[in-house]
Amino acid sequence: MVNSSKENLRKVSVKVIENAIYEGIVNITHKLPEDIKKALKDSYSTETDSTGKYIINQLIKNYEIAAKERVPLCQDTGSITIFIEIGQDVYLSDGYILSAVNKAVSWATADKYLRCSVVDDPITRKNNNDNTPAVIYTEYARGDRVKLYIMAKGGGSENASTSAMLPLKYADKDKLKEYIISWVKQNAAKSCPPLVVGIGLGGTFDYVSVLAKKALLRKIDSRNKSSFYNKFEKELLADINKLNIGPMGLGGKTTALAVYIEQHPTHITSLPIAINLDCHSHRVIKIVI
Amino acid sequence: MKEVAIKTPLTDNIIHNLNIKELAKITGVVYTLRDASAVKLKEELSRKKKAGFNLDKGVIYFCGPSPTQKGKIIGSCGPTTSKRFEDYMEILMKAGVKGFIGKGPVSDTVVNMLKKHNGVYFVATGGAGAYLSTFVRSKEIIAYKDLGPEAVHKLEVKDFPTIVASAKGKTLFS
Repeated sequence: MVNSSKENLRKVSVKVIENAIYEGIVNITHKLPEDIKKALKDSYSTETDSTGKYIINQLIKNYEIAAKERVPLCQDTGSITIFIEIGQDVYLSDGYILSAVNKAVSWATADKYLRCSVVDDPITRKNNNDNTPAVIYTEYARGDRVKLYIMAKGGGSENASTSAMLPLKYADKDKLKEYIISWVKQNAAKSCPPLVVGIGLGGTFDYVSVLAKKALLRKIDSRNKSSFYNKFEKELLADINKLNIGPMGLGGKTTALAVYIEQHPTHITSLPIAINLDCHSHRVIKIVI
Repeated sequence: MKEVAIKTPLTDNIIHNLNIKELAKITGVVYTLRDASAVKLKEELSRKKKAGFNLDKGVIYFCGPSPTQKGKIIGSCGPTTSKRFEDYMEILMKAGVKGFIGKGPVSDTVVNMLKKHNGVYFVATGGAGAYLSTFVRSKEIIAYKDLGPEAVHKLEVKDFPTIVASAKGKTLFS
């Protein structure tokens, strides 16, 4: 029997969600997250390559100017991906949530002079002129909150990402490391390094790419919930930074700022992997309503 | 790092004196190009043998700026990935272009092609579009306006910071 009573549910207006997403997009397209700012400043101190240091200095000036002058951090203001975690004790009111999300994307694009970077069709490619539709993932959670994870991601680093169903001989840390390092080596220079590397492992063919994107939602001081993968992330970061690709691929030891892995159970015969590269303009924000 | 100040149009003499890894601060006119405008320009060049704007000793900047706010000269305007334009570079050089500004590596074929036509490839810092906008003095859309951010913009720049990435058959990306 369906109980129509809403008395135990927390009412959240989709208009509040729309406003929050608008604010979130405006924020991330103009202000670099604090953890990335700190990582860039730290890498300026540790980088020994003169070209690398010169570029990191430009990136620091860039985020300062973007915030002060209210100019987007990058002309590729990105396509928008949003993960919405809806507490099961929430009752959404005043409209349809997915329409509200796209309304916010369209609003921020027009209001803050974001570049229109989304075309309507992969083949005919007519610009939609408002960056809609966003890619939206919805998930349920316990409780009565709505959590929004908003990401604005450039096309260059997205084009340099990959997914694959690996043979089981790769179910070995060293072999997997070789695979990941080899991909990063071939693709880092064109992805605006220093990079943030999101890796999905496990799940299914479709879900592994979502895992890689979810991995990119983490903050630099966060830890993987597994000590094995936490160590693996640190080893990968160290190895990537030994490739001498450096800022913008012109040499140096600052090739990546972070490596995050999101692992998940998988089929006995499968080893799905996805590597989602993100540029130094790592534009992600979490908002809780 | 050696710093050199250069002015467009790029004469053979200017190019002759450029070496990879040097910081080249560019002053003068550069034309933006992106995927959609590259297709149109290539088509126009093969049909009419010349473009609707002056490419002689010119510089092409692979860039699609974000829209300009009221009271500003230009929006964010950093480089886009040069690799996507490799198939257009020789036809542009035959039409007079001498320099390209973009980001990321280009193939050995392009490095050799640049040498053959006495051209140069500069890189600007990708994702530094707000910073790079401060070196733009004027902006005018001069071709394919209907393409929006992908239209050809004529930019006048002053001391626009780049790094010489490929010149005289040598490349920074190896």
